This record gives sequence, C-alpha cells and structure tokens, in this order.
Amino acid sequence: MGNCHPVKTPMESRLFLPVLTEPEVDITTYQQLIGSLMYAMVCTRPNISYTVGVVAHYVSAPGHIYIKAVKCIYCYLCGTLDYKLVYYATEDQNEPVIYLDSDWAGDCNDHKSITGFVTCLSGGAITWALHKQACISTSSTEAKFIAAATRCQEAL
Amino acid sequence: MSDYGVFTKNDNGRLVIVVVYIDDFLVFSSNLDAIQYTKSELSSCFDMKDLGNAKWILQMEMTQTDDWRKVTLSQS
Repeated sequence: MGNCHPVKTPMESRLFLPVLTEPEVDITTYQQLIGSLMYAMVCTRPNISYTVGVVAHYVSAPGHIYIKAVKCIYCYLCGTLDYKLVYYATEDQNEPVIYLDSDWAGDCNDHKSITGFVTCLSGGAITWALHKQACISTSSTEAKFIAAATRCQEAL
Repeated sequence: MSDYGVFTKNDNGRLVIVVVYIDDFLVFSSNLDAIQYTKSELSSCFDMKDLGNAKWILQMEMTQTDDWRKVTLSQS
C-alpha cells in the first residue's frame, strides 16, 4: 500500500455496508487488515476511530465492498503520514476538555446510534473512543442525551 | 484488575511523575534536579540504562522542542 493514491477522507459519506451471511473474502486477511488499523487508531489516530469502528463490525462475514472501504482508510493514512498528536504547554489552569457527539440511527442495519468522544488536554487528544449505543433512540435529541450522560458518568 | 502504570510524588511542590510499561520507564518533572534524583534513586535499586530524552515509547515516536513547550506523538 506504500504507493497508493492518497485520499482526503477515510470513508465515503453515507456508505451503505450490508450484513452478509457468508464471507466473500478471506476472514483472516480481513481481520489482519483491521487489526493493523486498530493498532494505529488506539495509539495516535483518533481521526480514523469512526471508520475503523464501522468496518470492524463485519469481521465475521466480510465482503468485497468492505475490503474496498478498508483500502480507502489505508489510502487516507498514506495521505496523512505527517499528522501528529501535538501537546502545548499552557500558562493557565490546565483542565481536560471533553468533546462528544452522536448521530441518530447511524448503523444502517440495526438502527442504533453511534457515539464518539475525545478528551483533550494541553491542546492534544489524550483519550478517544467510538461505540454503538445499547438502545435504539427515537430522536437525535435522545441519542445525544444518552451520549452525554454516559460520557459524564465515565468521566466522573 | 490491572497493575498501576503511573506513579507520582509531590515533594514540596516538585512533582515527579514516573510512567512504567514493563521494562520501560519515563520520568517527568518540571525540575531537572528532581529528575536526576529520581533516576539515581531508581538506579541504586535496579540495574538500568539512561537513554536520555524520550524518543520512542510503545512504538510511538516522541518529539519535543528544546524548551519542552510542545510535544508531539506519531507512529509514521
């Protein structure tokens, strides 16, 4: 993938990924591709959390369309090799800042909402994660409220 | 259940933070003497090597400006 064409975004917007009953491609290869992405995501790449989270849902029955989506993430990483996490020293009181958001029914198969958050300290991200909410929300307000409530609980 | 990985000591406002990952240590403090003291105390108990300013930790490259006002982490 070293010579791949860099892309600006890690995934097409509103990409529909269907649930397959039978795998179309080799599961081990697919899982290795996801594993390498997760390694980067956990350490220094909050910007691919969402896309890795989405493609990782389908590890048990991957298809050609997923391989295409995963390759797109690698192309994005190729285009952003010089991105780093940067932390600055500040004079004033240094407190962590949490940003969070949720979509509404973001999973196109079970219609559960997806929450993401990032905690920043000294201008750089220190923790981040993405997870699917446990219940189905009937409005985006409800989804966002669940996201905020869960995050506050964990932060405390 | 997990083991602790971050240890702190506040010695009259001189805060020293030691981060441990298996056999790798990082020692942080705003006071250079406090760092030297911590390192000499630790090396009197353990056989260890001082590798100077941190460049690599957990396969991540760490860079910092000379005045330590900006630190970056990257994996590329």
